[in-house]
Amino acid sequence: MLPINMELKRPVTLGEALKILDHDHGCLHMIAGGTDVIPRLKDRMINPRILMDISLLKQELSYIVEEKSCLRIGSLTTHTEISQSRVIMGKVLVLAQACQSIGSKQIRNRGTLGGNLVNASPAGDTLPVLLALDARVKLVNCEGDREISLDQFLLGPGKTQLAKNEILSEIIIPLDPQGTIGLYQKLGSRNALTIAIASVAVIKKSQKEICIAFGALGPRVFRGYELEKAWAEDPPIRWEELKEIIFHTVKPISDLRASAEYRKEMAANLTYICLTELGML
Amino acid sequence: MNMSDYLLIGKKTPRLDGRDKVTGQQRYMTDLKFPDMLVGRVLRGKYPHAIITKVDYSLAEAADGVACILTAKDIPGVNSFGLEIPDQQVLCDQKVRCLGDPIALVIASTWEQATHALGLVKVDYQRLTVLDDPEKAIEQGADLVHDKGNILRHNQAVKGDPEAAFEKAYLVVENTYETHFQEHAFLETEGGIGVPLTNGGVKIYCPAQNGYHLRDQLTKILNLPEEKVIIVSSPMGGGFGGKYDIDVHALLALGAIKTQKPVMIHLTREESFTAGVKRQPAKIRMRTGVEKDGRFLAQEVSLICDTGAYASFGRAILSVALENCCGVYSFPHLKFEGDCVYTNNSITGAFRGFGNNQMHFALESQIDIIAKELDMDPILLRERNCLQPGARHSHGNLVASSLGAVKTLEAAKNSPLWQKRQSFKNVPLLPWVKRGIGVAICQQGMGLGKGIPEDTSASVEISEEGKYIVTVGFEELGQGVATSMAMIAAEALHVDLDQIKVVFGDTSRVLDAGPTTASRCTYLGGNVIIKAAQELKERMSHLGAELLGAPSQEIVFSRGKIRSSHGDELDIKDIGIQLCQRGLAKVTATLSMPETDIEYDLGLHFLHGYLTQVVGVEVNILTGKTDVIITEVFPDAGKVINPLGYEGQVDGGTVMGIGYALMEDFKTSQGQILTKNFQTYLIPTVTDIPEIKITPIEVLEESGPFGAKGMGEITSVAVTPAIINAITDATGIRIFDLPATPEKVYQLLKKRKAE
Repeated sequence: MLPINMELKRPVTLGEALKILDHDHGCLHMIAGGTDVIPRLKDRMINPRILMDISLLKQELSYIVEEKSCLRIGSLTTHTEISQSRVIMGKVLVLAQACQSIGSKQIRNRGTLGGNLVNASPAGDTLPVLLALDARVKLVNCEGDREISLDQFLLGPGKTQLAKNEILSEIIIPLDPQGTIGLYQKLGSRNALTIAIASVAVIKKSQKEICIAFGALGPRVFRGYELEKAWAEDPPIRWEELKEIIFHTVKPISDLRASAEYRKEMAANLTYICLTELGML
Repeated sequence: MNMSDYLLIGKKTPRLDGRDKVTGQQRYMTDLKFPDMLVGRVLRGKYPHAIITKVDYSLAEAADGVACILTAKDIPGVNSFGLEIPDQQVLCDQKVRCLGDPIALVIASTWEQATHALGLVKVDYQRLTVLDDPEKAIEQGADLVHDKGNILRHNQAVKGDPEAAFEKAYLVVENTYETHFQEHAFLETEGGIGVPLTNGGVKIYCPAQNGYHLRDQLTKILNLPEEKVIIVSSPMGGGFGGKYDIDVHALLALGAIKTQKPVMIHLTREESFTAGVKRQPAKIRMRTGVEKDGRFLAQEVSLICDTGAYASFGRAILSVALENCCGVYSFPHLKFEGDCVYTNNSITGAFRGFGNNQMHFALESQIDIIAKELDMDPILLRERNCLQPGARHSHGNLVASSLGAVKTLEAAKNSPLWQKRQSFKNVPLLPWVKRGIGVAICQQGMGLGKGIPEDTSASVEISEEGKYIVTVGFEELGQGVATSMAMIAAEALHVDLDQIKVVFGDTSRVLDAGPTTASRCTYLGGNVIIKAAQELKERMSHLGAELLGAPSQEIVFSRGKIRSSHGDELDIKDIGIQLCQRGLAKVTATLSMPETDIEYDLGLHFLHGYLTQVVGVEVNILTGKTDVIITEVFPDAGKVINPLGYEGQVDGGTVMGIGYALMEDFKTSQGQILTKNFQTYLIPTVTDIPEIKITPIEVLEESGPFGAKGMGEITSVAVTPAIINAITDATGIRIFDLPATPEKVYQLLKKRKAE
């Protein structure tokens, strides 16, 4: 059941939204696509006095813009819009792939990229890819804005650097002039509408340089920096050694979906699949 | 008669309710609204096993909008019910035996108010030991769920000399198989509306798979005569056996009578998961002795299944499971025993297949293991032991001669998928993806089994407009029974489908047809309607002859008219008017299921359907995940009445069997439910469903309507073991406990690698 005594505010401009936020942030929760917020309201995991619906800011915060060295994506851009965008498909196909793997068509039509980041689920599907892409996020408040890396932004399950008076307005993805090659592997118990048991994103910068991030394998989505370093070593490191690094890098939990032990092995095996399919193993 | 001679039978016929359902026009019971309607919410026990020591309703009663709170004290009749034995309370007053047992009904003006008041009721419990393992529940000295002991039913029997047969067997294979709870997962959760009647009675708009049986139970609870309780029970948004038990029905009636206003209850998905019945988990030990040439000698089966806190249909499910312990095969020597046991787990009950899915998972896995041991083709081994038409079943009982099992095996053997299984497996794929092919055959009895009365009545009536009204007490669960009944009536009367109106699902308008379960409706309903239609036609001929002044044997029916041999004609409408005036317009008929000959410890069946299924899978050996790529299905359900409905049943059954095999896993711990809704209880989506190719093997049943048998359940049975056998074919590992989740498959692969 949704909370009974909840006030709904629906600002139509970003400025208006920030003003409301500045004034009421103590008892306010934001909602964009609602694919995470509505279930949490129903489960009483959150019980805000004010619900601020920012979906009317779509004109300001929904866009995919290509600049010289980066892509800028408005935070209210939906997963469907991203997975069908020619720009995304041309420049960072792996992000389109990750967005396509989210939930169902209905969820992808509603859910937003910004929402996926702010929700900061350890199993969030766009997070490993964006993290491996060295994405940055733009946070705005009444006074101005700041830009930080996604790695800095994510703190823990559901926890981020977003201050109570801030809105995540934009995601910035640095572009490789050579083009970005990458792969996202997600394991679920069924083929769609599933939460990842484990997920891995690998970005291939060159044969000797990779960026790798893991999902559902720790309290937050995280980069495998040690693995990336080991990969760059000369002479090339053996797969068995890489596997050992993965095993001690990941910190999965056991839950209804899978055991920690299985998740740990999946971290290695999904990485193996990514590297093999990218022609690197 | 050739197929082409039929007007409708065997022709693809769109569902009568199809347009309304697809466009969202269809109103289900839980969509109905009445003026001044109140809302009820059920207070449910927090613990799986506890004594209720004190309940304080004072705060809740005083809460905003609360009309009343009903407890056990408010029940005018008996506070007990049950499909087999009345071991369940409408509202518990002393003890709760499983999570979700109802204690009180809070009725308020709005859902929010009722929910708020629920939270204000204070219940004190004295917690008792939770029995969550049926094997522990039957141990000496175990705590009791019910005073009369934890064993609901025990069966055992011996045929021949199994021990001597095992002695001389060339090979003896023994394994233990385990199955899990499965949730029906119908789209429409349990719910409905109770409306008070001016005569002091009540009308319930609420899905039920047997309106009449429900009415019988309600009259006892409400202490009202039959005529004061009306049940409107169809259409509903899915049943699969899960809407047979009383869930909210009695509460709706009590609430409406008490408040004298319409009362609605509609369970949330979480409540439905908690309070609804599930498929029985079973543990099956199976020992099979075979000769060198593959001939089966002896079968020994012991089964223990978990009925949860209440009987529901536990006894009958045990019976069906044991009846099927030899499947379609002939075993000269047989020994079985089984227990159905009370625990504090979720209540289990009727579910498409009714104990058969569990037994066939074990049996058809076992057959594949034997084939492998003997290095024999799995279809050949099955053929060698399969019952031939005219044979008796392994329990010694006579069965209908429409025994198409061998024919379905033959068709599977000749199918492209089976013939080309090597090339299917050799398709170049990623190195970590392995392909496999599996096969399984199953049978499913139709009807309730020997000893259980199942008289089925229906009527066919001609109206003054010359149209026909068919009334039959079956429930439209979504299976399309109304369309099949209309087609059969139209065929029997030789008129177009639009001349038929089917009335169903309302005890004030239809006769008792028994339950809409056990794959019985097409066969029984079809036969009864044909019988009534023929009688009506005779009356029409007689009247026509009288009016036209011709002998009745010369009267011919031709669309909308009857004609004498002289060419004189009468409009059917005129016949209708005359028959109505004479009170002869309506013909009622009653029939029952043909029974098998022998009396036995189990309620054996006479009529069966048979089905062989071939499945192709891909298993990712790096993750353990299985995808079903393709399946070919060969059902023998006799004559196909409506190919569209037939395909729908096969598609739906296959999807359920895939879910059961690979992902659906209702998890509990100490009687508490861990998978509370569809976030963690996964059912297949369209992306998990393979191409399904269906080839009907029409072995005509001479006693059936146009040669038809039932097919609602059988479609969900063989697919599960076929998938499990295909996984073995692909990887070499064997799943003995369902479901074959990625993690389980992966751990077995890893274990085998280590060995």
